[in-house]
Amino acid sequence: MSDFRSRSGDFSSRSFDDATNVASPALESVLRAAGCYVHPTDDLRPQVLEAAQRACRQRRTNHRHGTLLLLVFLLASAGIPSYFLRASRSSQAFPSELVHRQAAELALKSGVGTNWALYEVFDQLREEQAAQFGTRAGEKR
Amino acid sequence: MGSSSLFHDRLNTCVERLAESGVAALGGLFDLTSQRLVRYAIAITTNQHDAEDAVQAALVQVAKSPRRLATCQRPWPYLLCMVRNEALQIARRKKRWTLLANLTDLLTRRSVDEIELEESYRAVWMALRALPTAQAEVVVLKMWEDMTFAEIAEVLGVSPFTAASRYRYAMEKLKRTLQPLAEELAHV
Repeated sequence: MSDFRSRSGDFSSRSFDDATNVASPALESVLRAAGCYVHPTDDLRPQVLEAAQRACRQRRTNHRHGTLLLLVFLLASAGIPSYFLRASRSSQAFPSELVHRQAAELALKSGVGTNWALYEVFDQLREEQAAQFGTRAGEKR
Repeated sequence: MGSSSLFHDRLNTCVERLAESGVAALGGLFDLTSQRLVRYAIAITTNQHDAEDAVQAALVQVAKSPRRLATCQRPWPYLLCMVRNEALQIARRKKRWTLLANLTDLLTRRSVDEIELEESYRAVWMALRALPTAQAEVVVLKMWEDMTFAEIAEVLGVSPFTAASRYRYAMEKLKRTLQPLAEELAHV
């Protein structure tokens, strides 16, 4: 092995390979010729192609599912805060002071009684709240 | 050397087609490389069935990422490396069947005028199977893939010196086993 180690460096060159070749030409010839002796079975080609096609289809399906899930997540993420915002707005108590002021203004403007104006203001308020929740005021569920 | 460069040219064409057309072009790559890949994998798994499983697994991986080979500077060593990894995984999972007594698992073909050479071919494969896997791999890549030790080292993940050393040990063993047969054939 000492002659091996003394040769430095160029393992990529054919000349080094030739120098380390210990096979006689006859032996090398026999070895090389045996390379064509073994062949793949006839079933291997269709098996490989079918397995590859199946794997690619599965990969595409997984990719589509992943994209869909991501889309749903993004939409849900965008929708949830606005839903809670609307819900929080609608759940805020309407100050009675404001109701009475609006009723007084309506009574002055239209000349109706205060009670009727109050009724009109509350009716309007109910319609607005119903619109936020997507139902019409007065509809039975 | 001419046939080697022709093979590499054809391989590059297959790889480009695979990158463009995906799995539809895999058949071309299979037709060009399967025999070489299977015989290399047999050096690791020591039986053809497992070797073909390894080749199938590697080519399926190629089909799933068809552009991967196209981005390699040297697609052939990369493909051999993929097959090697799959073969090693299979060999580790399965109990290693010792089939030194016969080669009945191998699918062999020979033409009529090669019948007298069949004995020598069988002797070579038997001797190869008797080698440690690490040495058998190097012999296959050196003799049948005509690679330099630097290229072999790239596939095996060892230093070129280690590859050369394994080759030398392997050839000394093969010489003891096969030299008489080789000389007999040389005189025929």
